[in-house]
Amino acid sequence: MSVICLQNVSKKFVIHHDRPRSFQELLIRTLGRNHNHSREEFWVLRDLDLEVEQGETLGIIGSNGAGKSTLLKLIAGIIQPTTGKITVKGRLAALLELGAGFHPDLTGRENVFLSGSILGLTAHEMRSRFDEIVSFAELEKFIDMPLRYYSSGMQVRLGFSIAACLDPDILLIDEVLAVGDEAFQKKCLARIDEFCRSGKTILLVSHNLEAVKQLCSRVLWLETNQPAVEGPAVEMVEKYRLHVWEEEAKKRAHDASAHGSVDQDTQSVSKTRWGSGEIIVSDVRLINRAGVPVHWIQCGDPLTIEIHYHVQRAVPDVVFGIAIYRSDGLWCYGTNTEIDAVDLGPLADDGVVCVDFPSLGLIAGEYSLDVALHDSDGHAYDYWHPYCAFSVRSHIQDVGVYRPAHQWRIGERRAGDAKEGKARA
Amino acid sequence: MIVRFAELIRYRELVKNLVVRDLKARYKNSILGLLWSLLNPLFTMLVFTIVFTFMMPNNQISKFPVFLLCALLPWNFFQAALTGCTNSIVENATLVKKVYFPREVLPLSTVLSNFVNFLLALIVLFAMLWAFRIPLTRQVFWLPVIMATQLAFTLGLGLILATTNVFYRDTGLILGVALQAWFFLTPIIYPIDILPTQRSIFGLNLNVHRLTYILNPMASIISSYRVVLYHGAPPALNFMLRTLVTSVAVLMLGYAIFSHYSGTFGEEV
Repeated sequence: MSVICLQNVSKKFVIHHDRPRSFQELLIRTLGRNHNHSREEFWVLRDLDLEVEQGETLGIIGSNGAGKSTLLKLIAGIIQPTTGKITVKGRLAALLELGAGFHPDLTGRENVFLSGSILGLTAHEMRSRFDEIVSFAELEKFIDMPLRYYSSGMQVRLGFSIAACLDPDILLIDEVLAVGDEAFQKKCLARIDEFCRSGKTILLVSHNLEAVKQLCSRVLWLETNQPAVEGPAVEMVEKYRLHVWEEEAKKRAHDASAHGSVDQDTQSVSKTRWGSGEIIVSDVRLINRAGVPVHWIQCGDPLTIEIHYHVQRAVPDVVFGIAIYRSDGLWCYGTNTEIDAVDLGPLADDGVVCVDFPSLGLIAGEYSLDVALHDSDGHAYDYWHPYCAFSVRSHIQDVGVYRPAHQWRIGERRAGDAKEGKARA
Repeated sequence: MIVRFAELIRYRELVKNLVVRDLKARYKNSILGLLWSLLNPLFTMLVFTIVFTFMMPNNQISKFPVFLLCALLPWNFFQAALTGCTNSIVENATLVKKVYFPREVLPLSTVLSNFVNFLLALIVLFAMLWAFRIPLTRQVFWLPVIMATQLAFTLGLGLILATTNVFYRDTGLILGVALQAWFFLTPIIYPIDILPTQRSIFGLNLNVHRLTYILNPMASIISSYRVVLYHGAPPALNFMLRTLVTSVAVLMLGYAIFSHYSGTFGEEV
């Protein structure tokens, strides 16, 4: 049985560049001669058909501005479709924002009841869930304090806990997983997983592609000016990653031709690339175990980064550097030929410098790679921040940033440890 | 319309909680909170009393402070509720953009929380009536009808203005000026009886007294409060009923306009 059904749904937004926003403007506009109404229309969604079955978890992915949030708002009834029909069966809760309607002067307890009623619960339902909400948020001690004394983290926790205890038939979630610390995010994911298993219908918008792959069976991929496509989660996520990769490559090619590879300017060429241009990066490849250029690798596999360069004017002092960032901006690793004391020798006009990682231990996720050519004082010849994105995949659900080589043993202790243990006791 | 109304009833819990939120937020911040909302009309009353009895001593109205307060409190309620309504959608923009609920909940809860405030202020009025030895008569039982009329009129107008304010943000500013004029056009600081029944303007013979009653529902509502409490007489039924019908019509019109546009609030606000 399908609980959400969209038929031919389109949404058009109209931007009136000079629509009067006040009576004053309206009057001046009417009196004046200036009657050119410039309006810009754009379609965010076009003829979208979608059916979501009872108990299904549907992921929604796509670039920014592709209409993911708009779709959720349409289903939630916050905005109306321009054409088409939307039918929703069952009680629906939309988590587009955590802690909507919180008031700083009220206590945590009062806010829980207020927020619950905004989401459509009765006082009776709220009372029966109150203890669960408070203990999930781990805020027992603070629940009778005004919200203004809460840290932002505490407010977010309270907001999610209310949402988590809602128990609707259909749950719409928009990027709310991107909040809170990592431990809390894990807790949220576990809760959503629980929802899935208890037969709730969930629509999940997320940029966390690994989470989408884990939680969702089916994925809808929205892209601006392209028809929406849906399919099995793993397949769609990979297609989307490939698309992002290609778009980036296109953009790089465009940047290179637009700004010229012989840019003399020491000022930044663009936000993502700057430098004086004596020596430039002509290509960077990620090579996997099989020697094939890729844009994803398996956690623990070897990886080689090839930096292809081209010398425009010979310079005596060149340092090759790389850095890896996680998609949320965490700087995971950075090194260069100076730190590692590598003697490059005289450089050819065109050549390759490679970095070999025998085993790249980053855990599954989205990362980006910076590539830089500079001198030992830090003056940039050609600095890419970032150069490209890549992803690491894994079958293992471990957490953190990287996976150091390790193994578990049971029973015996190492001889040295035993002695030490005794000494301490 | 009926479907919408049924949905509104499902969300009564939210209306209640928003009213409680408003009141708590108002009275929590200062110990003087409640006292302040009682002192405010008393202070206004004091100023008008000084002006009309000491500075303009040919005032024939006996027990002027009570005479004034009977009209001033309902007017203050009207003014606060209407201003609150007008801003209710825009002020809660984040909520309107991110959560689905019947939008009329916002203006409705604003009117209701101001109504609770008004009821509290009535305590002061009853104390004043007692202090000035004005006896309460059976006519007090008209109060609920008058209040219901005022609620309907205020909410109806508030719904229209809340909608307008989403599209034209200076509605609130214009309202401020309009309310000031309206205050003086309504018999609050003067009795409605002093309005002339015959007045020639540009050769037109106007019955200002009757026109005020017909064109300004607030005039009828405010003087009903005064007749019932200050004079202890029954309200003029003819005008009372007419005003009730007008108010209900305004409410229905306001609800229709609001319902028609509320679907676009999520993207316009």
